[in-house]
Amino acid sequence: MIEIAFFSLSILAVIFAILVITAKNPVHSVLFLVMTFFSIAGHFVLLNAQFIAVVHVIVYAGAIMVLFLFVIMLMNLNKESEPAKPLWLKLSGVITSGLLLLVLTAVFRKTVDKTAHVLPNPDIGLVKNLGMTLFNDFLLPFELSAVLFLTAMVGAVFIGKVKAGN
Amino acid sequence: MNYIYIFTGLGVVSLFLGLLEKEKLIKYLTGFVLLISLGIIFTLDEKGSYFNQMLLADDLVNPMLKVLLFLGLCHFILFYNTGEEFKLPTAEYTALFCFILVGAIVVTLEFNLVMLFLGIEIISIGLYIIAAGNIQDEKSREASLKYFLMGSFSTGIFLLGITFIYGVTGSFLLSDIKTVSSGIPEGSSPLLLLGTLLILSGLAFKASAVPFHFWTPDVYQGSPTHVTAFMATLVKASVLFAFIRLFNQAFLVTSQTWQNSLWLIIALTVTLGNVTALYQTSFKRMLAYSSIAHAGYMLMGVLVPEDPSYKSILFYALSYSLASLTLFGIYFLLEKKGKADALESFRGLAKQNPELAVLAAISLSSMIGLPPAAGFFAKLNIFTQAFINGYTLLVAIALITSLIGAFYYLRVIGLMFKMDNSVEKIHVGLPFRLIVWVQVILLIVFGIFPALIQ
Repeated sequence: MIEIAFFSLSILAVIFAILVITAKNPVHSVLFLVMTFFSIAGHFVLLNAQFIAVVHVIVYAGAIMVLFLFVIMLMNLNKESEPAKPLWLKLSGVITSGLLLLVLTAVFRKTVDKTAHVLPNPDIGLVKNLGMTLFNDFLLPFELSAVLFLTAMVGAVFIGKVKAGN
Repeated sequence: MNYIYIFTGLGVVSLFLGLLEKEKLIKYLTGFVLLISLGIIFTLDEKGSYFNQMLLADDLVNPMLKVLLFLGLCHFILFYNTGEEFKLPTAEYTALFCFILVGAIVVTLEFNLVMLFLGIEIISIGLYIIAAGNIQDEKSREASLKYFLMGSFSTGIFLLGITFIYGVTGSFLLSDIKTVSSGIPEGSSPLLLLGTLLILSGLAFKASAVPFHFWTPDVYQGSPTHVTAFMATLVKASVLFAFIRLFNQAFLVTSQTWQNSLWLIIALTVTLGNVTALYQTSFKRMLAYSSIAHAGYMLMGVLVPEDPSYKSILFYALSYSLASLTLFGIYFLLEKKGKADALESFRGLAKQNPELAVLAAISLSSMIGLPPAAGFFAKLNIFTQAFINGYTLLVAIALITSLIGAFYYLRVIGLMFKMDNSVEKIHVGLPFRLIVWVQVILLIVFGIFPALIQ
């Protein structure tokens, strides 16, 4: 049962991901990305990490994708035309990413782990446990990410002010 | 650790003071806090690990913190009234400056991959933004966007490396990674190898080592000069400190793999950096390529075992940063006089401004590695250590390329002392003059008494 769910979710995720980069229309592309995020959220549920699954849907599929759609619509990018790129650029892109794919596949083939692992605590992904870890072991990174977001926010104000000043 | 609190707080306070439009107060406060924390760090040697070994301050990294804070202070005073010239919002600029300093401190003290990632992100995001400080200039916009796109891509690669390492070792802690990976025979875990190489590439991008250096010349040239000076000195030094901590504390066991890759990266970096710098006509581009080359020399320190490598990288980073800050400062004065970003702008500087020309010449000779200045001992330390540890060919390459490098530095010195065409008299403010003199005197003092820094 779980295997059926896993494989159907995986196939869906891969298909939607391919559609994201092949779709000519940016709006379609964004919508396919939303679908990809949903299938990945399904994977998180299968791993008993409900909190991450929900956050993934709310933040990525919800907030970020809505922003994407707004930007595309406001900038009027939903044209089907795209400037043609030179052939050598496409070729070098194909070669380098192909090499990366080759290395990654080889590495994962060699590291397939057939032994069954039992987690010491199967509920590790639930909100309570996650919160305990986050506010005990990872308190400092959690607080410092606030500095990171503050930097980004101040940055937006900075660029806005620099623009307004001129 | 306390410095993280201090500078985060300072950033937030300066934002609030910006609300009250107390711009002068922000500047004095920042300078004062930098000075005080520098005083504290030299009197109190704070040691220990914090928050479940997220950060670790010990005898090896404490001197690096001192260097970072000192460079921060020098940079702040040298460019303290840049804001008005570029019409930058003072409060926001100071806040970003403080946050980047926090990132640099985190990166230097990191003992956990999560902290390393966070620190690097804080630094990078801050830099993407202040690189666009001169936004009406197309080059500045281009620099910011280019840095942002390439930087976020490299962060992705870096993050992938961290996940692979976590997958193999089950921990983010550097000491745990070392313990677990030492139980794995070399080459038998491809995932560990790949993770190490991806982390190496991610960090090499931030340190602008050669296969990942393409952003450097454009970003250094396009950004406002004070931002370039910041990137080339404080930020570069902190990334190299992170490099050495990570690779000495975590990956010693998988050494052969990353050492070979790092060997190749260094050989390419010193060669390409120095050779390309020869052909530059823009001063900032030349310094960008020279900073690529110097990153290569500093990376040579990562190859050798723990104790000497910390000291030699520290010495090199300090001497390079002092010289670099002085040069950027003097170039900044020329830029304010409306001079173009070209080597020719330095022609005849010595006629009306002998003081500036002499200071610049000493800094340039430190960069070449001529004996009276600190650059000589910095290079000597690094090369000797690498030679003792059996990297003969690499040392040979480094020596030849630093000879090549001497040409383009000497060309600037030659141009400055040509008397045919003079740069008009430049007014130098007191704080600027003080800091530049302090930097150059330190260069000479460390060059004559290198033992001071041990």
